[in-house]
Amino acid sequence: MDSLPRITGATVDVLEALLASRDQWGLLIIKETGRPPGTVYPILDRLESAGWVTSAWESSSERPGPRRRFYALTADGRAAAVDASRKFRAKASPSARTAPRPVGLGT
Amino acid sequence: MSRPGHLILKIAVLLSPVELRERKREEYLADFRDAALCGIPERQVACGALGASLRARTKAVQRGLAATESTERKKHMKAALSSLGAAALLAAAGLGVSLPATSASPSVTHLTNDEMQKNVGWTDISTLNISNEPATSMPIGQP
Repeated sequence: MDSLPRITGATVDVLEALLASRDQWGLLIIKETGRPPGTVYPILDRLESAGWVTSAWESSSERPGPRRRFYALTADGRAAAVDASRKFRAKASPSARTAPRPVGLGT
Repeated sequence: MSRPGHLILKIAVLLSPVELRERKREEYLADFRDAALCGIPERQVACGALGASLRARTKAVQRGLAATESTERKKHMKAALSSLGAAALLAAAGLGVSLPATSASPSVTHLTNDEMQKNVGWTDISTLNISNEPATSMPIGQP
């Protein structure tokens, strides 16, 4: 599995959607994350080519026409996703930031 | 299925990398069909697919260019080395220098204009005469 060069907020949202459920398909991830399809599709492509997720066609034959493509995290991808999400949230949370120094006090 | 959305989707599929085209076609068509069920506008799905295909295509082109550049660089290096080798051989043949064999390193001798004309027939005094024999006149470092 390759590491990702950069992990954005959108990537973390997609990873968290994938962590929440075993089988997710593109449109459901778009709905759950609230991110536009133009953001989600490339992230899924990138995660798949890096080996974080695998994809497969739906097995159900109830629905006629084109099949949905389901995405799932690999074992390594799951661990990396948990780590990436934790790190990103820690960085983004205000408590992790250094408190600003009061202006005009001390030297 | 809306006509403009369908057209955008077709373009998106055509722009996908060849090896992924069939897969993407079915995947995008399924998402397009179910967009209304998820409350997402069909056109948004189609435009998203187009954006993803464009990115994938750009990356594929960049990878292709990088591979071409690497091949070209190798070719140029080969040509440069061949030219250097040929130039060395020609220089050795032209100047009568036997390159390897002995351990004696060639010495550099400055010749006067007269010596030059007598020995070689050249008139340019800045020309160096390279030979394996020890220097006989005006060795380097001596006036």
